[in-house]
Amino acid sequence: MEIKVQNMTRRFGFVTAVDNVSFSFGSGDIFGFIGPNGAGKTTTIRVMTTLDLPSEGDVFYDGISAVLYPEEARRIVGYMPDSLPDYKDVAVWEYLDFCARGFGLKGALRKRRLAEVEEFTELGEMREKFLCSLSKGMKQRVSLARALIHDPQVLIMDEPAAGLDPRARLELRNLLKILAGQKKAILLSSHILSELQDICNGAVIIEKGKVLSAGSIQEMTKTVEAEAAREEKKGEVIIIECPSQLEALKLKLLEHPAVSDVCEYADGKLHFTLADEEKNLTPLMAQLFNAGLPIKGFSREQMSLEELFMRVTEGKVQ
Amino acid sequence: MNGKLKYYDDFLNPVLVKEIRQFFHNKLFLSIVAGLLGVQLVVLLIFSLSFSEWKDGSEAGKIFIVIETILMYVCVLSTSIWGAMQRFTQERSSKELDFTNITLLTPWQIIAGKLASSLVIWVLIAALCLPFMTVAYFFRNVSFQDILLIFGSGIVPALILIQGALLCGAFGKKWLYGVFVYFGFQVIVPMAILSIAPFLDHGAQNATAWHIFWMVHGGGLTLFVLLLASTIALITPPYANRMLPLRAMLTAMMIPVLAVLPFSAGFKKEIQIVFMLFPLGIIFFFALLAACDRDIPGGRVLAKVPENQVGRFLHYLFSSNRTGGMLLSLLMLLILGAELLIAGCFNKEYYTILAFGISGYILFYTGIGILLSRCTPSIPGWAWTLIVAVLLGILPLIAAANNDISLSEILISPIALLDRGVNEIHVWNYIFWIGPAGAWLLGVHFLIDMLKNYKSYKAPELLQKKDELS
Repeated sequence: MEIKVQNMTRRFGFVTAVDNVSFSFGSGDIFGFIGPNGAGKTTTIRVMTTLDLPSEGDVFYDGISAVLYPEEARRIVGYMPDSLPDYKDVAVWEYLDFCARGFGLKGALRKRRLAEVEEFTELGEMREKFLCSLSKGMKQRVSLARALIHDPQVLIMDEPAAGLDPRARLELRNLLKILAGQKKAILLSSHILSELQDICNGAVIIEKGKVLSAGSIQEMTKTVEAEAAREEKKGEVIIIECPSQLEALKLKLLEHPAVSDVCEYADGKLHFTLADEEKNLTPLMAQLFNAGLPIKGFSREQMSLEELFMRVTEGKVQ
Repeated sequence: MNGKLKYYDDFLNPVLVKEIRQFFHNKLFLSIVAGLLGVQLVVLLIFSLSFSEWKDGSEAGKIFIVIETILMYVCVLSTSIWGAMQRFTQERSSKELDFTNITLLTPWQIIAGKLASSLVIWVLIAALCLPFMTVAYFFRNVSFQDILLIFGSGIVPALILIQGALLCGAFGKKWLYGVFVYFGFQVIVPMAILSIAPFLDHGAQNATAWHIFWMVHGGGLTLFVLLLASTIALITPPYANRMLPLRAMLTAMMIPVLAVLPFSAGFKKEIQIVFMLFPLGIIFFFALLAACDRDIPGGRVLAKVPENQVGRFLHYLFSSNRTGGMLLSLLMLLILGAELLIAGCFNKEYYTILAFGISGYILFYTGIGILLSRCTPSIPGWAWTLIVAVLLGILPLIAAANNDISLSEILISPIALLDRGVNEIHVWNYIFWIGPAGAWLLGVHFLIDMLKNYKSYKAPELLQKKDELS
C-alpha cells in the first residue's frame, strides 16, 4: 500500500492553510507528522481522511483518489481523531458495534472484529462502561479501537498521545509497533517529538502550510547534519565507550589536532568533535587501540528528532 | 439459535439500533415514561371518581381525550423529539464525530435511522396512552372514530416536529434549540390544534372538519418532505451531489402545481392564492439554494455525469452548481409566467401579479448576489444576495419615504410600488414585468456561462482515472 499526498492545497477564503503539500509513505511505515500549531497538520489529515476536500491536488491510496472515491478511501483508512463523543447513554461495546455496522460489517464477522479490537486495545473490562465515564487514556483506546474496527490498511492519528500519562503513552507506543508489524501504514501527528523519536521511521515536517522536509528520519538527519557541519565547519560528534582510564583517553584525544570539545557523556563514555571525520577517524582509532586503552566501541551521535525539527523549522534546511 | 435469526438486527438500520439502545439507557427517558403512566392513572382515577357528578351529554369524554392527547404529545416532544435533536446536534458539532465522515453510512441512512427511532419511541408512548384513550368512550359523547381521528390528527404535525428537530440538529449548533421551540409553538402546535379542534367540536361526520384536516395534512406533508430533503442535503458531504435530492424533490412538488395552474381560474379565491404562493415559495427556495451553492461541482459529481446529452443537461440543471440552480429557477419562472398568461390571470387578480413579480425580483437579486460573490470569493453568495436584497429592495423605500416615486425605485424594488399604489392597476403591471425581466436578463449571462462550461462539464482526465480504477 502506497499513500501519496500529491500537490495538495487547501484554502479557506484568502487564507492558504496548506500549500502544495506532497509526501508519501507505505505499508509498515510509522510516519510522524510534525509541525508547530497552525502549521496545517490537521487540515492535511482531514483531507487525507476525506473529512474535507482539497482546493487543489489529491491524496491517493494505491492509486485510488480520496477526492473522487471517498467511500473507497474510507474503507482503506482508519482515522483516530483527538476527540470522542461524550455519550452518557452509549457503552463502549455499543459504540464500537455501531461503528462496525456503519462500515457494513455483519453477523459473525462483526462480532469477531469487535472481540479482536477489544482484545488488542485491552478494552474488555471497560466494554460495559458509558463513554462519558472514561478517562482520557481509555477514550484514546476506544478511539483507536474505532479506527481499527474495519481493519484498515492505513491508520491516521491526530495527536494520539496528547493528554496521556507516561504509562498510557508507553502502551500506545507498543500498540503502534504491533500495528506497523502487521504491515499497516501509520501517520501520526504529535507535538511530543521525544515520543515519535522511538517509533517513527519517517517524518514529514510542515510549517506555515508548506512541507519543509519529508522522508525517512535517517535520510533527513544525514542531510541536516551535513548542512550543520558545513555551516559550523567543526566536524562530526563521536561517542566513544571506554569502561576505565577515561582521563588517559581524554588526554590522548586532546593530543590529536582534529579533535576538539572533549567531554564526559555518560558513565564510561566520552564525546568529542572530530574534524574531517572520513580522513581522521580510522587513524585516530588505531592510535587509541595502539595506546592500549580499553575501548569497547564508538559511534556517531544521532541527532534527536527534536533537534532535527528545530533545525528544519528554523529555515536552515529547505 | 439459527444463524440468521441470531443476527436479525443486521437487517435494521445501524442508526436506528444505536438510537433505540440510547433511549433505553437514558434514565430521563425511562423516568418520563414512568411518570406518564402515573399521571394517566391519576387522571383516570379523578375522572372515574367524579364521573357520577357529570350529567348526561356532558363533555367528560372530550375533556378526557384532550388531556390524554396533550399528555402523549408532551411526552413524545420531551423524549423522542427533543432527545433526537440533542444527540444529532452533538454528533454534528464536529467533523470528527459526524457519522457521514467516520462511517460509510449515507445521509439518507442516517436521517432515516433517526426518524425511524423517533417514530418507534412515539409508537411506544402511544401504545402506553391508547388504552387510556379508549376509556374516553365510556365517559360518553366520544365515538371510537373520534378517538382515532383525534389521535391521528397529530401524526403529521408530530412528523414535522421530528423532522424539524433533525434539521435544527443537522446544523450542530445548540442555539437552534430556541429556533425549534419557537417554530414548534408558533407553527406546528397551532397546526395540530387547527386539525383536531373541528373534530372535537363537530365530530367525525362534519364535512368542514374533514376539509380542514386534508388542508392541514396536505400542507403538512409537503412541509415534512421539504424538511426531510433539506436535512439530507445539509448533511451530505461537500464532495457529494448535495443539491440533487433537494432540487429533484422541489421540482417534483412543483410539477403538479404547474399542471393544475392553467385550470385554477374556476377554483375558490383562497385556493387560487395557495396555488400562487406555493410556486413563489419554491422559487424562493431554489434561489436561496443557488446562492448557497458552489460555482463548480466537485470532481466526484463530475465523474458521474451521464454520457447522453439529455441526461447531461438535466444533470447540469439539478446538480450542485450555481449556474444550473439559477437556470432551473428561471425556467420555472418562465413556465409559471406562460401559464398565467394562458390562464388570463394577470388581467384579473393582483395577487397573481404580485406573486409572479416578487418571484422575479427574488431571482434578480440572487443573480446579482451570485455575480458579486464570483468577484469576491471570500463573501458567500447568500450573504451578497442578502445585501443586494436589502440595498435594492428595502432601502429605496426608506430613501423615498417623503418624495414621489422615481423610475429607478420602480426598477429595483417591488416594495416601493406596493407602498405607493396598491389600488392602481398600472402599478401591478410594472411589478409583473420588471423583476422577471431583470432576472431573465441575468439569465442570459448564466446561459452563456452554461454553454461555456458545458463542454468541459465532464472532465476527460477524471473519466480516464475512473476507467483505470474500474
